[in-house]
Amino acid sequence: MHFKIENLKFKYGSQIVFDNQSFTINRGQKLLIHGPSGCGKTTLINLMSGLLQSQFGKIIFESEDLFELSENQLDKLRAKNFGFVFQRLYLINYLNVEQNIQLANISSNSCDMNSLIEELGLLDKRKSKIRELSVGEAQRVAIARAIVSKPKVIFADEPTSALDDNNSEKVMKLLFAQAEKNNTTLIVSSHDSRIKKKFSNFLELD
Amino acid sequence: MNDIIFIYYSLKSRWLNCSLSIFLTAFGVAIALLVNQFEHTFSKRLSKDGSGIDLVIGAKGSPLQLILSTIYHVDIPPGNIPFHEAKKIINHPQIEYVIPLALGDNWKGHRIVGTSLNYLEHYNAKLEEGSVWKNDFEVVVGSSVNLNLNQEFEGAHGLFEGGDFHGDKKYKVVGKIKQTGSVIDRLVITSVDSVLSIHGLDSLNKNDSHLNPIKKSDREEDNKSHHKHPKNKDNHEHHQNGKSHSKHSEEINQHNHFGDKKKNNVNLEDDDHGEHAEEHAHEHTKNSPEITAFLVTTKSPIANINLPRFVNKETSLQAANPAVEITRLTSMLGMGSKSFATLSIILILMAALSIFAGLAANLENRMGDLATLRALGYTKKRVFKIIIFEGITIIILGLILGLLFGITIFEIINNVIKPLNTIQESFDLTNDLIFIIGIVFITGIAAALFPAIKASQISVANQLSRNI
Repeated sequence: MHFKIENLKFKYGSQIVFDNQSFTINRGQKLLIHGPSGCGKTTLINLMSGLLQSQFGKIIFESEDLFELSENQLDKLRAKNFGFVFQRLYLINYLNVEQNIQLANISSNSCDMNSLIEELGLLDKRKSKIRELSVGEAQRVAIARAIVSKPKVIFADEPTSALDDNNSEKVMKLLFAQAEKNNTTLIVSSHDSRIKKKFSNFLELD
Repeated sequence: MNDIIFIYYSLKSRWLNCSLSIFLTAFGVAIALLVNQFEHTFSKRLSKDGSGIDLVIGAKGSPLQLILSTIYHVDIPPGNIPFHEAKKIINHPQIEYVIPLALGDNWKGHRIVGTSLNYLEHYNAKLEEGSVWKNDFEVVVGSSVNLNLNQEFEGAHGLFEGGDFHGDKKYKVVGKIKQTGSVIDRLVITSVDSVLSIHGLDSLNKNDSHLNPIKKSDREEDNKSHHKHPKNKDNHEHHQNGKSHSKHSEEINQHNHFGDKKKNNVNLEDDDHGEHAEEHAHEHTKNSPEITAFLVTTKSPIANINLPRFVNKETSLQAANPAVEITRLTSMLGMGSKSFATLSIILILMAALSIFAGLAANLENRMGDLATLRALGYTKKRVFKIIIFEGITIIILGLILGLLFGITIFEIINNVIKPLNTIQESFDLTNDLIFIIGIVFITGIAAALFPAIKASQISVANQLSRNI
């Protein structure tokens, strides 16, 4: 068992975002957290990745209770195990494509960055600044940064929300391919129904 | 990714803002360095040049002027004193020894100083080549004076460059002094009689023991050599050429230095001391020898208080205490240097504020970037270090640039401004300067501290969820 979520509850002030969530995720599984905007998809991803803490319930990742870990331990856990594709990408504008990818914790086990850049069609853009990229190219850089360190889990928060059908398709293909390749668990949050058919596991929030 | 590379690109992306902080720091450091170096040079020179001189006895007037003109050779003396008047004092029991000084001319701005050999001994002067003067119009020159051995030259009227030359008489360089780091490095030094003679005054009594109460053996040697001086011949020549000095006389008299005097041929060797000298005071007319001042070393510190009282009250002369006058001068100059020091502090504080403002203001725009780093596994400590090192990089660059600016300006000023050029001062890493560098460094870190703390305490989830 990769992830085990037990009776998870989260509230902002007095507003309960979700309550009594319990589920498990196995290694290599692909999960879509689906629901309308504001239903708590991003909050759930933040909780599962250790970016947020809750006083109710448990999140167990490979026998570690995330809510029991110190901030420093969580930082190390994230660096070692998790990759992120953020909704707004959060690429650093003053660094070039290659440098943005290098921000991830690249260890000796990590896949070869050059072959990844080539595989994602970014070879001629590797020295380009982020502002010189198209939306699709920037999305691929974000994916490259998320997978370059061969993480055990990739969290993708609304990865297709700003993309057209064609690019949305490409991005999902890319994420799936990379997840398959390294037996990586893929957790995607989205309100986009276009990608729903790609997943066999859903968590529907409302 | 290497944090140093990250910091480099981060600072590069804000180069205008960073440059402003770097230059503000650099200007502050440069001004602090210049103030420190000139103060250091100034106090070093003051103490070295004035070392061992307890009093200066000269003409009445400004005591500070007397000190500056006779010890440091940077001002015009308040006047000359009749030698017969000075003789009344130099045998005072509280006086250890005296060094006579006769000023009036220069060579290319280097003062020609008529004195005794004790003057050289006082400043520990060693000959680099040649010998000391044995005859009148023979000179030894300081290391900064661009004259060669055996070179002959004419002295010019006045103490600063630009006066008319004494066409009738030439000096000859017989010795060059090794660099001493003191005032004599920039002087042309000769016997008192040479200076008196060229200005048409009678020579001093060569056997007068009052002149050199220091080390009797030296004095005897000195006197022996003085006996060999073709003094009378020189004086005679001078009388013959007396008219050629008329122009000089007017000029010099305006400066209260040696003017040409009508010859009277009063032989000081016949003069007795004390009361007898007083009795003959009326004989000391216009051609009687005059000197500019005596540098005095007393026998005890109490004499430094008593002797000036006696001289100032009982004689027509003035005794000035260098320690008192220099303290007065430095307190006056201290106000100026304090203003510059304050300016440099203000600039450094402004630099620190600009570093703070640059990092803090930019932090708002960088929150997303920093949250991304935290999400990717950068620890709080690592983010804190990145921001601190950005501040440190700015402050180090500012320090390096400021030190380079300061040293360059110091060297330029040293080479361009002649009095500084001639003293050949060089940059000195003083404790004060190390302290300033330390303070600037700490200020820079302090300025980066708040933004660094704020950046490291960022709420990653909130930041990444913003504006979604």
